[in-house]
Amino acid sequence: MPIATGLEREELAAELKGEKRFDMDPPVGPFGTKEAPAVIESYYNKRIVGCPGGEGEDEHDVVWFWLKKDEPHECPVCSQYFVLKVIGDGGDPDGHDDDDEHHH
Amino acid sequence: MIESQRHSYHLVDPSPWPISGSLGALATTVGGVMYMHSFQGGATLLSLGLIFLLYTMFVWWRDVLRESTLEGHHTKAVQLGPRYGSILFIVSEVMFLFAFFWASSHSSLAPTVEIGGIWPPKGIGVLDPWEIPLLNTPILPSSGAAVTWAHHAILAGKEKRAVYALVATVLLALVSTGFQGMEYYQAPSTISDSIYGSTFFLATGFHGFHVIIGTLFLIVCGIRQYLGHLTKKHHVGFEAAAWYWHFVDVVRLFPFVSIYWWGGI
Repeated sequence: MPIATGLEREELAAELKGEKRFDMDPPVGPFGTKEAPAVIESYYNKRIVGCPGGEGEDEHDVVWFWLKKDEPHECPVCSQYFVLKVIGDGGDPDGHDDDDEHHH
Repeated sequence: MIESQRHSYHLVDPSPWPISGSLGALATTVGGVMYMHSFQGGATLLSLGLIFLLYTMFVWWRDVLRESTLEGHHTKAVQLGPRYGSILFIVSEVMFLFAFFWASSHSSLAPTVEIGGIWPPKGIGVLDPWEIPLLNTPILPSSGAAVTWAHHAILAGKEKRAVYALVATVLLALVSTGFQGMEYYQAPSTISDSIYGSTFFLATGFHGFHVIIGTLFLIVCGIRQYLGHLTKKHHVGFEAAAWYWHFVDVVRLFPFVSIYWWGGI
């Protein structure tokens, strides 16, 4: 473990364990349908999602939308079906008070 | 905030340095113009502006060091920012110096009738390129070799050796600046002696100024290496200083070949 502190240290420590400290990758998975929707995880009650369509010929320009809790979304272009799964504390991601408990 | 942060970026705190740097730059340029046109108070405003600017540079970079080395905000994604920034800055510096070599070539390739239709202009004394200019030319690339030695020492985790290598790099840099100062002191012409003096001292002077900036950058790296700030995996400041240094040492070859040698014989 090289000398480091703070977030940099957490990143390096996670790397040494073969894990990822940050959650930077876009969600991917099989094409979502009404029967088997694309499940998008979110720490909040809503999240901005982009639909790129299906594979190959079925691909389309990314269409962005707000996916909200308990409000499934159907892509207007390819009818891919999305639902939001809240895995965090929920609440609103907007505003300036979203730095959890701590205030500076 | 840190324990819950899920992205790898550094959202910086509000800082007074951008506005203080802007005000310093404004005072420096206005004061500089006033000074060069002999306005009253020009020298005072120029000096205050420069002091303000240098102070801002010191405290701003001090804050960056605190945020990166002492607070650990510089994750891998964050380190890319100063890296791209340094490269783009060096590219802009290349263009800056290119303009001076352009001016020199423009004036010397087809010398006008006002300077006797010859280059160097009629009546202008020039330095012999095979004396101090030649002696001084390999010193900077040697210093560039020494900074590569320092880089390998850092990558190998040889902390003391990296300090020694940086001391060698800086010493060679100082020798080069010393020779340049000596050369200017003994030069047969001044910046006010025709287009020759203007282009010669503008190009070599700005190059020398960049050597001094690079030397200060390397000295800061040497102090940080001595303090143990730089690790095998994370030494962005050193990398930027080394890139900057290679830019400065390679650029030395252009004034030697085109200004001292081709333009001086």
